[in-house]
Amino acid sequence: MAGSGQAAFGVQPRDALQVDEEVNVARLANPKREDLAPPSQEIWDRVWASRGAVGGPQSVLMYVPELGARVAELGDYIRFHGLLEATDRELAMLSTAREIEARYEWQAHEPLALKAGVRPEAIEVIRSRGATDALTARERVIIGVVRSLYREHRLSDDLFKAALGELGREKLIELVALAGQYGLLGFVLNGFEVDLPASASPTF
Amino acid sequence: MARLEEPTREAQAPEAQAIWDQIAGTRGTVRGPFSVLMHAPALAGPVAEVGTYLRFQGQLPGADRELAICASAREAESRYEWQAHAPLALKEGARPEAIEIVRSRGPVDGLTPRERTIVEVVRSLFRQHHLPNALYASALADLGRERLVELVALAGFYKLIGAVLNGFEVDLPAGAGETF
Repeated sequence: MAGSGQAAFGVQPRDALQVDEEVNVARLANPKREDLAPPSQEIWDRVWASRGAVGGPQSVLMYVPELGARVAELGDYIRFHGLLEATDRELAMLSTAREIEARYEWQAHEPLALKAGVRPEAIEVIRSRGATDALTARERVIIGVVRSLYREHRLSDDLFKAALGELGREKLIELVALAGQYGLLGFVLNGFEVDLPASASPTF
Repeated sequence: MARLEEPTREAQAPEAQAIWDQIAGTRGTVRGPFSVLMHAPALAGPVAEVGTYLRFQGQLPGADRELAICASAREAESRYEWQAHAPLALKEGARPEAIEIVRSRGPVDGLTPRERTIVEVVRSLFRQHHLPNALYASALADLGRERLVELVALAGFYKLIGAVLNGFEVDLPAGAGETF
């Protein structure tokens, strides 16, 4: 969206010049730590400590700091303390990002997926929304569960059984919740048109 | 028949019992999505905390919030969510006509501007995965920034809850009203 639209919507970017010079303008200005009340600065510091930045969805959610804090806590569990292996987790995040067309999520997690050991062939199947026949049973389960939750809003008996056999109960619960959490983050990113970093590689 | 058995408090480890008690404390009982999530208590806790903020501590007025939850439930085809929240929407003062438009996925012409904003934001996030400029502008004017952030996060949160409910086929309670 054009930068001139900001004023029309009554949003005054506090650092309009800086934002304009970076890339296309997001719908909200990035919040700054020094503009926040002390309790919210503590929330900012917690988010910063676990992620090394307050960016992406958290930059929007910091407009409602208590909500941002709780969404970040849930994200911390899923990303840093959950039971799913990193490859499964990152594969599921990319599948979710692809289903809800969250380009910011995609560009943030594609490098993490590769680093965690996700196969480039699997990533390309997700990116192109291709058939999963050539993938491993594990990859098929992960991608199949996420796609089914977004496309049919349910899991067929066969898919549920395969997923339960492959992952076990707790990891399957985590996978389903992860698909939801990255949907939430994707809504925030897309709803407020959070910009991709200037250096981001092409997505889809 | 739900895909997982109902968890019981006695079967939980002490830390998980504390999470159980927090959920029961805000919601009365552990049921619905939490009957699934309590099989993974370390996850159930932070999910419940997000929900507690959105449902009980947020800035959206009750009628807006419950209408948005109903609209999310409808889009995510979560019948459990619908039967739990349609009565709450009425109780919070949402208009029955608005609830019926959401339920039947009908046109928004018959809605007030406020209802229309709420329903269109939720539908647009679920169906197009973005908010067109005109809708964003009117939603921002109608709700203000903080409430709009809450509305968008709420739609996403109820997608999460709906995925848990539908993914594990949580049964509707006996005596549940009509859904869709």
